Amino acid sequence: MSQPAAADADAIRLKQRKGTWRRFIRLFPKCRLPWFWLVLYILFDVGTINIGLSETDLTAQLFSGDTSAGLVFRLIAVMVVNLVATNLSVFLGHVTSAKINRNMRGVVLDKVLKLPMSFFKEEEPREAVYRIVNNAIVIDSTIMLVILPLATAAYTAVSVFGRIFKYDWRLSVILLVFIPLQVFLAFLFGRINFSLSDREASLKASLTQRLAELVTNIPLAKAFVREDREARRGAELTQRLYKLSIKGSWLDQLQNLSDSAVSLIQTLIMILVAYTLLRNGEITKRAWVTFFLFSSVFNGAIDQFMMYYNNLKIIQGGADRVAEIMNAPEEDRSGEPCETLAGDLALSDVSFSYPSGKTVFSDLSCTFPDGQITALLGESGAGKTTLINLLLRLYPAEGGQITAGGADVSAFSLDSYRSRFVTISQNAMLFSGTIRENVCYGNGEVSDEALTGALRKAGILDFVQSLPDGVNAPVEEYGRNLSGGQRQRLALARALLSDAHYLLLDEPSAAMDAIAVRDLLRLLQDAARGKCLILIAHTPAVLDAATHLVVLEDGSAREGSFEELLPQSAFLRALSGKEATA
Amino acid sequence: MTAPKEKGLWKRTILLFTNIRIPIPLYLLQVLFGIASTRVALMYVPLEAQLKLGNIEENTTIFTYLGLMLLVALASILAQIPSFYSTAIVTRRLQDKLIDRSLRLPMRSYESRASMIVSWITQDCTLANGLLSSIAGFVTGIASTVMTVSTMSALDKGIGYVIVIIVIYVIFSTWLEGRLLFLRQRRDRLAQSELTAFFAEHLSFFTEIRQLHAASEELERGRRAIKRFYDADIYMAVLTLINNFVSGSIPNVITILVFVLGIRSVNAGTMTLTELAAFQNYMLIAYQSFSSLPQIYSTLMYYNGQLYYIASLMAEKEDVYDRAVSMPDAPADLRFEDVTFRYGETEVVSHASFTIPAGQTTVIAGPNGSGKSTLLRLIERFYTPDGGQILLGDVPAEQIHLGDWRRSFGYVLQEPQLFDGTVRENIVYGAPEGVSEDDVNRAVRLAGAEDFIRELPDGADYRIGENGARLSGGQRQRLAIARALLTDPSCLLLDEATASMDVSTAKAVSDSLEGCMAGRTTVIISHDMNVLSRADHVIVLSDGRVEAEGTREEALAASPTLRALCGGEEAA
Repeated sequence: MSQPAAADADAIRLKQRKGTWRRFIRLFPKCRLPWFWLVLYILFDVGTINIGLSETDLTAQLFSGDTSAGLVFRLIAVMVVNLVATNLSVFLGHVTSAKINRNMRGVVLDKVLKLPMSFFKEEEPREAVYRIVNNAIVIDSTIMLVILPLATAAYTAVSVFGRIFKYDWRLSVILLVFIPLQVFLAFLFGRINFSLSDREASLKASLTQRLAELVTNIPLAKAFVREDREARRGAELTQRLYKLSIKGSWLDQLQNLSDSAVSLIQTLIMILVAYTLLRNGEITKRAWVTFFLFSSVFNGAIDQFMMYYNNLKIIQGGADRVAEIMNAPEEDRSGEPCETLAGDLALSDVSFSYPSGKTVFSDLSCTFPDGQITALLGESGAGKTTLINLLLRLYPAEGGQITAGGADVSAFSLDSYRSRFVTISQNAMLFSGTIRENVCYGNGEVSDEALTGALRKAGILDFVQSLPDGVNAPVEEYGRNLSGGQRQRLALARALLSDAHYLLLDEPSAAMDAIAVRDLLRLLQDAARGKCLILIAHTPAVLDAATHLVVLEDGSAREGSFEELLPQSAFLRALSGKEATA
Repeated sequence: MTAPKEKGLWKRTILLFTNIRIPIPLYLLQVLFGIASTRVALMYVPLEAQLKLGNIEENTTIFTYLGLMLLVALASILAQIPSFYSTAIVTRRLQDKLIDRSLRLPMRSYESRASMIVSWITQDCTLANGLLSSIAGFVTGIASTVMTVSTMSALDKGIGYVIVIIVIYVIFSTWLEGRLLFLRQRRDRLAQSELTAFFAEHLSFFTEIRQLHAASEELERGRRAIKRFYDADIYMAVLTLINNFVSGSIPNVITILVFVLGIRSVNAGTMTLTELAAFQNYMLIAYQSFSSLPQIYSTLMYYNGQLYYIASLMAEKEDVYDRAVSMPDAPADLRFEDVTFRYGETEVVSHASFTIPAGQTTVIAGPNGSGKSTLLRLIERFYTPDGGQILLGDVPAEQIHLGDWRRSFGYVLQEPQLFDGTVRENIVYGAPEGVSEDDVNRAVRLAGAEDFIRELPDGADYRIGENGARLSGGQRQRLAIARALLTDPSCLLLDEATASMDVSTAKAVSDSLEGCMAGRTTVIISHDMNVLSRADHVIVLSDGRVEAEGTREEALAASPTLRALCGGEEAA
């Protein structure tokens, strides 16, 4: 990324951060927090802190010379209770976290599934979704790693202050005086280190990225016999990474040094002042001992306070994303049912442009006649997929109208409308599970006969029956253990099981050779009889099967039979290889 | 990740370390600094005990105390320095070795690991230092424990036997911790992978879920995965609770034990309070030094398991480039004689015999999976035949220098590999250093890339993004062709070079390729049977066997497969 672009991105991010927290807090009521467990955990935590303070108090008494059996007994009892309570409190924290995460993941998943496609803009939805789901734990992090620890640290600091105050007000003043100094120094060093290490981290990421690229491109290096030069380039990269890592470590040392310096200076002054008071007989030995033991607890609490504050920054990015998604509007689910919808699909004067403003097409009109096979053709980027997505109402059309059987489709409820469609995409969606699970996916309860019938029609029954487990045979992640043709046929069987009236097929060009494509089309012609079938086509092989063609070319749609369109369409001539003769 | 159970695992790991120079002085320094900080901490104890009790008779006490405090802070920072240097050095040396090794692996060894090598090199290499550092830590731990115990024994007031109890307890708790960790990891990994698999796999089909109208089904599946992850979380919380009680509480248990046993000695007058306070601190230091020692075995096993993959990569054999003869200058026919090649059990190419005539265009046709691309890789000598031989003229290919051989082939794939750099950097990738501007321009013109490069914002200095993401498919392919032509190969291998392009782009690229093919031996694989019109020679493959060989007409007449590929049965 070039420098100005990076600076711009930074400025935008900064602007967005303002108001993030307001949006984020407003999120809390939507997250189904386990309030009972949260309250229980907080109460337990407060109790544990008090027990811990009593333990320090009693230890101080012991060290001041009180070795009576009563005190020792009490001290040991408190120690045991403290031990148990601390562990239980950690346990409660884990349980509460688990519950928050469970609820939150469910809420986010539910929300993501109801979002309109347009939410993702031009971003690849799969990446966005994955990131969002990972960020779901951000609520837990905020509560358990920021809000509660901040409260706990504050509570500890105040309690210690109260106890010291009871012994001698002057000692408590010493504690107070140092808070601003501590905060200031920590802030200063934190600021310096943060900006430095942020830059280092992004440089490191880019170097690692280049190293990864070098390794990925090894076949290229072999093909061009560049092994030696690439090894040298690799060594240059690792050398730069090395220097960066050393520099980063020195920065860490600087941070450590500054941390120790702050706490050293503080302890030094505290002890010297208290020591002077003790020497002059202004405070008792007991007060000194108590102060000595408690001051480290107090400093620890303040340090923690600042550490958790830094956590806040770390989780901010995730918070942004979750807040954005949770506050986004969902797809509108209202409208009339249309269980028996059929008839021609038609677009009239439909326009569509990306959120970036780039127009895909404007005032486009075309018809997909019922009971026929229509081939949808066009260069990549001509808007074939966009058109299909508009038909499915994954995106709203801008201007114009889409009708099915003469009725405006926007009047129908999304659920009922989309259930009239079934899509066989290039990327046949197969997931780890059994063949049965994959084929029945999205079709509810399916009888064995119906399943066998669909597999037969899709021409894959023989193959499935030849497997040791038949329909219960395992499918690996993304259907890796099946060939491209087998995956397509399973997807076809799945489509045939649904009682959808409109079938959309994105022809897989690269994955199948001409023989396989022809076989698939023959199956489709039988299976789709009486339905409305739309083929997105990339090869001339489909032209024979289609009875109607829609060609997206030069921003408009031409339609008709092959013979009618051939004279008008340069694209069609190129595709069918008839250019030379035409 | 569990350590693969295999004999010779350690041998392999040790072999890994013989490949790099280990910065021994840095590890020695780590040990020395470790011992020094324990020494300082021990000196600190009696003073702190006095301060804790408020027994400050002289000013020197407090100043010595503050001085030591400075020293402790300084020592802990100093101790970090050799440690981060050794991490960075060992990582870099190992990375260099591994990159070099990966570059020179035979193609099949590389391919079988391709997806993992990146993370081995960028991530796993840092683990090597972990192994060495934990050995250094072990030595430090022993020395510190001995030092602490001997200091403590000077103070022994009859409660020294506490240390024996604690040693036994630590060993027990380490064992238990190991068991619990094992249970926890197993359960955790299962649930974690299940949840990740769900989100990664299912939600990657986000558009398809919409198209198939399956949101409610996904929600239900997702909830199930989330629930199972939650159950695993709770299970882990319970295990952690047990573990914390047993192992995590040792310092508290030590304090309680010391007080319970010590107070009696204090009341009996055999021990002062100061000594009790000091004793408590000594015990804690002894515990810190000692606690990690029983874990050394599992730590080493852990690293050994983690390093398994890079150790086995290092143990792989490299390709041999130097062979008996160098590449002959005169063009000669490339002949396959009864060549067989297997991927595991499956025979991808079986007993293939055919000729690729020099200076002519040969098309290899066949359905998907018939072994066409494998043939090209055999020609390029990325793969070595399992049977039969490949000859150039009359010279067996394996006698010819591998580098010379590969340099004489220009290989263009369906999805070309490009890297994130400028257009020019990508084009000159394979060319000798200092290639002339004229040569570059000629290659660019021949590849039909001149026009689009001129129209790019920075021309030849335009950055093309990761794997050429900022270019279109046709543009990427033309760069790859220019890159191949710049090395002036005597033979061009085109593997579906235009398959991922639009019709009109594909036509333009084919036209520009035609110019390059004149007078060069060219081998083409394509789905598009229109290429047959350009073929001087056709080879038809079916299930790894040569079904027909000859001119286009001869092949069509002899091969039913080719007829089917060319337009169905009606042609027959």
